Amino acid sequence: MNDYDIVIGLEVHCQLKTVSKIFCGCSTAFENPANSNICPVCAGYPGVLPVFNERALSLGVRTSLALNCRINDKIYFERKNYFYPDLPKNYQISQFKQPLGEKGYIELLTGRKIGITRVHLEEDAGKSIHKENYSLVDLNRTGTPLMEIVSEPDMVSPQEAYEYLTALKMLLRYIGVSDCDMEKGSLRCDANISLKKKGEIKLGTKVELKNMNSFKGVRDGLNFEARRQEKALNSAEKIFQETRLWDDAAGKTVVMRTKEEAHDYRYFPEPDLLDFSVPPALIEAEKEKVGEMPIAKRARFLSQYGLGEKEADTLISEPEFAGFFEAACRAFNDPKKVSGWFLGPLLEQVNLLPEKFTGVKITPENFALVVKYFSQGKLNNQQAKKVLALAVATNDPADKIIDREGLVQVSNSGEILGLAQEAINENMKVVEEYKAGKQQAIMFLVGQVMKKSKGKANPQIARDLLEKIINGGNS
Amino acid sequence: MDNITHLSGLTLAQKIKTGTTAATQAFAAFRDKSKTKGKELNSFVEVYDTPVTAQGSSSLSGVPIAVKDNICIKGKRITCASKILNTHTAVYDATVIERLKNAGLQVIGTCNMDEFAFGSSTENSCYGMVKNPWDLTRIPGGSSGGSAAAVAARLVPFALGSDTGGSIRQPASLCGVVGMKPTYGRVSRYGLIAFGSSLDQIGPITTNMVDCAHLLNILCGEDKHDSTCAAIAVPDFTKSLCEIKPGVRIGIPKEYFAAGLNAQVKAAIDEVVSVFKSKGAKIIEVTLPHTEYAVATYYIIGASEASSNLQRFDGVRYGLQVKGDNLIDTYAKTRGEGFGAEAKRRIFLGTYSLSSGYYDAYFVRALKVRRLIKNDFDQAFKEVDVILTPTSPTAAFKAGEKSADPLSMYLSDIYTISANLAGVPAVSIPCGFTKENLPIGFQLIGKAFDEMSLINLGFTYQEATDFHKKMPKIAYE
Repeated sequence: MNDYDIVIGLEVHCQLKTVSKIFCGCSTAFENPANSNICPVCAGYPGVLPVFNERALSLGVRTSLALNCRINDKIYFERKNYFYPDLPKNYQISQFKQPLGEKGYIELLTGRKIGITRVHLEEDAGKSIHKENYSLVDLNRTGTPLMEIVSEPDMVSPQEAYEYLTALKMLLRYIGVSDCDMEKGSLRCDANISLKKKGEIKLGTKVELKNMNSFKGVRDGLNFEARRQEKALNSAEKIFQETRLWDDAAGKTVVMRTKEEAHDYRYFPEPDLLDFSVPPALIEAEKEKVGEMPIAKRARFLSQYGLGEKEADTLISEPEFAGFFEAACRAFNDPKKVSGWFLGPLLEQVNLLPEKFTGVKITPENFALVVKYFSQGKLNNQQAKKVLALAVATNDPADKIIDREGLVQVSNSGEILGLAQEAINENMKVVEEYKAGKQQAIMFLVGQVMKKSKGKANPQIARDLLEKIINGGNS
Repeated sequence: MDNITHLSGLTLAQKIKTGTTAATQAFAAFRDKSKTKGKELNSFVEVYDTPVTAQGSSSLSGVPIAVKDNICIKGKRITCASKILNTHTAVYDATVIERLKNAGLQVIGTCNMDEFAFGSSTENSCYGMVKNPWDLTRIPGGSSGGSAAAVAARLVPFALGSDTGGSIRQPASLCGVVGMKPTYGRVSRYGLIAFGSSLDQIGPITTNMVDCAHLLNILCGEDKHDSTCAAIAVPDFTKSLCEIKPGVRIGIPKEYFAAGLNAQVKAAIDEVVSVFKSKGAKIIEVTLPHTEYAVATYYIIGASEASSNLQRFDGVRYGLQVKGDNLIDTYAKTRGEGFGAEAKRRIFLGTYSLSSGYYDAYFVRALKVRRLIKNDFDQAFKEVDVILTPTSPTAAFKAGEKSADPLSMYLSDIYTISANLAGVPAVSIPCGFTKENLPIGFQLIGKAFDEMSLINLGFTYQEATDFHKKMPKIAYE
């Protein structure tokens, strides 16, 4: 790609986290049986009218603010007209001429700023399920509030597009407006890509890419398309303005429709909804809900807690992680240890939960207590992990678990000494191996002591004593 | 004993309340007449054997009412007089139906209409044309022709219509009854199958102004299902009902008395003006300078909205489905067979006006002119309280007379369209007959949300005249 600059812009659709649909009272829960979350309004029956869900407005405003967008004075919806079976009115209520927010930007971890052209609200379509000679339509998703976020063509590589998506997802999850789960369809992304000769100002002919199912898919699709366009340009072929589909399995893009086949959507103002302006009080309230952006949080975690970049990256990757970590640090002020126990043992337990982090019941304070007991030597590593495992999904107090399970670590040399002697007497062969230079053999003996103490012995003290006895016997 | 079908709605309600007439008896009398005479006029799509009603009470409890076939009644067929919806059953009640039920009225059936309310003669119905009760060789006006004909023939005391460009007022005028289009936003549109969403309003067709006031009390008011329905307090139209006080200012827009106005109609309107003068009203000439652009503006905006509103009729989920070779073919065949000629004409017109490359020249320009037309009314209403005009340039014309020439048909709404574009209320009131004994009506246009002035002026006029008491021969049969 030495001769060309890559120019990429992304269109992201994400489902807003509202309880009900954007223009009717139906639930947005998506795992229900097909066509169970529908009413005459979202099913487009004759005579129905849309009523705008103000919660969707709040979330749209919050997003616009977090993306540094200007909120337009006059808000109105338009109809986008096209025929498709999963769009029961055969028009989509959307925003066209005047989006909710426009002219903003997002900062990437690399420090680059990517322009945001617009943020607008619209209703989602249903789902078509194509069978061999027929199709089924599920309208549960019809009318789910969607937010479309269009970037400027500011990205210079497929990798940067990937970084943009990562940053955008993190931001949207931070401000609590969307789950942004591409696999569940709550985030979808189309990309526009064109090449131009290095240094050229005029943009080349752009191609729209669709059907990417993951961030990686977006990057792969763009990489393929960049190479395809480069090859074409080098052999003096024309690039056509068209829409292409990314085939993840085949690893290539194929033409979906050409410019000539492009729809004329006949947008016009939706007469069933009135124009309005966003109340200043709503904007103020949403400003407060935006909070600290991930990139600022990362910088603060590095300086305030003295964390490494890798640790900070994971801790800020989910707003719940960061919040939990900070609360735990307030309860036990040893950020290194808290972060270590969070990123290690805690996340290990979390990954075992079917609901992942949402299933975590343990409070940051209770978690901090476990870390504290470990630091103080009250619990050994195994014991602390066990307490954690038992508390993660129940939030039973650490003290109660320690009591119930009899988990206090024995650090009393006198108590451990007898057990160490026993272990040695019963495993003379291992002792010989150790003496012969097999350092590892000591760990077997430590294990025996742990077993005899029912896991309560302080393993460090056990090891010290074992070495002392064995080495002492030599002298 | 009097023929109870000749009573006004309010009088009938009072007889029901005092026990002189049973509600079931009233329903049966109108139902039977609607079934027999309704067939002659073709004014109904369906007459119910038993009423759609609920336990509820109001000043009109127990009185039968007919509803235009574009307003949803749960569990009943709703067709918009279109083949494409011929088999469709409504799955919910329109807000106005809920209100009628809660007021204890008895819905008797659905009235024939121009397909999807596209027309001024009720000739564009998949069930055939409706006949004017005053002369069965003539049209009743449209698109609420079935509702107006049924009320004029006293097949029902009153009916609901919908008015997008005059569809209540013009047939009311041509059938000799009262038809009111309330202010846009006064009556919920939820459950009204949309034609032009920014223009449509449901309104009553009655034999007199008093019934009109009583029905408006039931129909008007905000609705959480319709964002365009205004959260503005509704007066009790029956309590404030009274004759006008001297000094009421009535505006006469000169543009409405230009070429094209039938001389007999003109003479009848002059008589109306004399009546109001005698009641002490001040008659003031006003100007609505953009009137000549109203028809063009209306046909662009109305057709544009209609082209989008009618997209949902595609044969996928309800109504007619004509299977084709593939999805697009199924759409084309279903809509090709399902829609009548006028519906197709409006879909083409609207699709064209909204298409890229034409949007600014047609749709956007029409919106601008609409604003100018509204400004005209705002200006005029600085000087006058109401505006008085003819409702229709002519009395009822012969069946088939204009159906071959859409433009001349469109011009029959020339006096009624502006009120829809401006969103203001307007009513048509009977005011005489032509030499051929065909009814003539005049129109009163009011300020937004001032239906009260229209009611009181109309009431005053009807206290002084008896045109509204005249009934066609068929009403006595």
